[in-house]
Parts: sequence; C-alpha cells; structure tokens
Amino acid sequence: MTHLAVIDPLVRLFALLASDGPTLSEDAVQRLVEAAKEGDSSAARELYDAYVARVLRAVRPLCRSEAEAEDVAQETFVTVLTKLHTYQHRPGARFIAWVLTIARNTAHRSARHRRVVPVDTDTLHLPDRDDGADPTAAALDHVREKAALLQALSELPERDRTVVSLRWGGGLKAPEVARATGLKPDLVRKICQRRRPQLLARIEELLQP
Amino acid sequence: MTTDPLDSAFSSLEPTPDARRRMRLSVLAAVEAEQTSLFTVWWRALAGGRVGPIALVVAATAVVLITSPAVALPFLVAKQFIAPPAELAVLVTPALSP
Repeated sequence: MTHLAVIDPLVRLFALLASDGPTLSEDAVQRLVEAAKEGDSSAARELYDAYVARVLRAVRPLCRSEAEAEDVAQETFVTVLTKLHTYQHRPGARFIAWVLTIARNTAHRSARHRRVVPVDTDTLHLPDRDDGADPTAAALDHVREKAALLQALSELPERDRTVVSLRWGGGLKAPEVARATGLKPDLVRKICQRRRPQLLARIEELLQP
Repeated sequence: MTTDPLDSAFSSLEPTPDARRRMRLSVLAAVEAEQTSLFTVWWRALAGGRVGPIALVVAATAVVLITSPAVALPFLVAKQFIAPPAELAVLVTPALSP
C-alpha cells in the first residue's frame, strides 16, 4: 500500500471540513456572480467559500510560505470581488478559470517583488513517521504528505510548476490552463503527462521511511 | 470512483477551517471598504445610469471652477486689502515700531 493511499478517518474529516463547499453548477455560479455584482454580500461570501480551497491549492506551490500563500489568496479574492463588474461570462468558459488567472498573476507579482526562488525552506525537512495508534500520527502523515508534495513541486521549473498547480491544484482543464498561462494547449498536455508520473514517484520516494 | 493520487496530494494544501474563517473576514472587510469608498460609489452610480450626464457635467464644471486660478485670484487680491483684526494689529505693532 502506498503512503498516499493511507488516509485516516481523522484526515478525511479534516479534508472534508477544509475542502470546497458543495459543488456548484456553472449556472448557479453565474447567478451568484450576478447577485454579487449587485452588491449582495451573501453571494460574495458564497463565491469565496466555493473557491477559497482551490485558490489556495493552486497558489501554495507558487509561494514561499503558508503566510504568503494566504496573502496571495486574500488579494486574489479582493480583486475578484471588486472587479466582478469587468467579468463577462463566455459560453464554455468557467468562472473558476477567471479566478485562477487572477490568482496566478497575483502569485507571480508577489514572487517578482520578493525576487527569491519560491522554495519553502520550512517544508524541506520531513518530520519522522510515527506508526503508532496515536491519532496525531494521522495528522503527522498529513503534514508529511504536504511537505513531500511541496518539496517535489519546488524541484520543477517555474513554468511546469505553474501548469501542474493550476491543473491539479486548481482543477482546471488543459485549455483553461493554456489560456491562464499563455501557453499552447498541446504544450500544457505534454507538461502534465510528463510531470504527473515524475511527481508521484518523487513524492513516494520522499515519503519512504 | 477512483481518486487521482496527485489530486489527493494537493488536498493537503487546503486551508484549515480556522484559516478559511480568518481569511474570509479579512477579504469581506477589504471588499466592503473598497465598495463604500466615495469614488467607487460615484463611478458605480455613473456606470449604472443612476447619475445622468448633466449631473456629471455640472459636477465637473464645479470642480474646475473651484480649483481654477481665475476664481481664486480675486479672493487672493481682495485679501491683501483687508486689514488684519484689531487683536493681531496690537500684537504686531511693537515689533514693527522703530
């Protein structure tokens, strides 16, 4: 059994509490967007709740620390919610793709200001594994998985790290990633196909006791 | 339904419920502050058609007139001919006398 497959119920509960709210259809999202444009603050709150986890998943590998990722996510949502009047829905284009394009640009602006390669030095050291029945062992596995993922991602070139983060972190499709990054869709698919097995193998290697 | 292991790995990056709440408060407060700023309210009203073009022209003319030197100059000139208040004159006089 791989380490990634070992998910304790406590971790599942944690993930459920922390993950996105109920999945909204694109029509429901557009209704919320229109309501938020009219100044409905509960609609704005629902949009935030629906997408905050995905935004953080996508920007965390592009940032140096947890705190920076939270800053980028907050700045992203402030921009999204104050610039909603500039958003035009196009058939076939999802709202989340627009949100994550803003998130990606915000993260890159933040990285340019700091002028340091976004390797999170806090996560380079993986904590020791604890196989005991202690419930904190599950939380420790969670921390180890997170550290291994960030370590593996930090070893990728910036372009590929961005593509992988938007694809699996943000849940975008290849053409959406292509539009957000300015790359060609075929190149995005190639990057995803090449990097996916490499990342999984590297995470597995890092998680070995 | 099988879950993509890479997708599962990325779920470890999601914020804790506490971080979500903290960030939500901060985001909504920033948005509220932005949306209630005078410029934004005026711009929204204009874009939404609640302020007509005549009102805009009147407001713009008022701003130009108030800040224009042509309007300000007569006041500045007139100020030169207005005598200082009596209390101020008493204070100033000894210093000016030989």
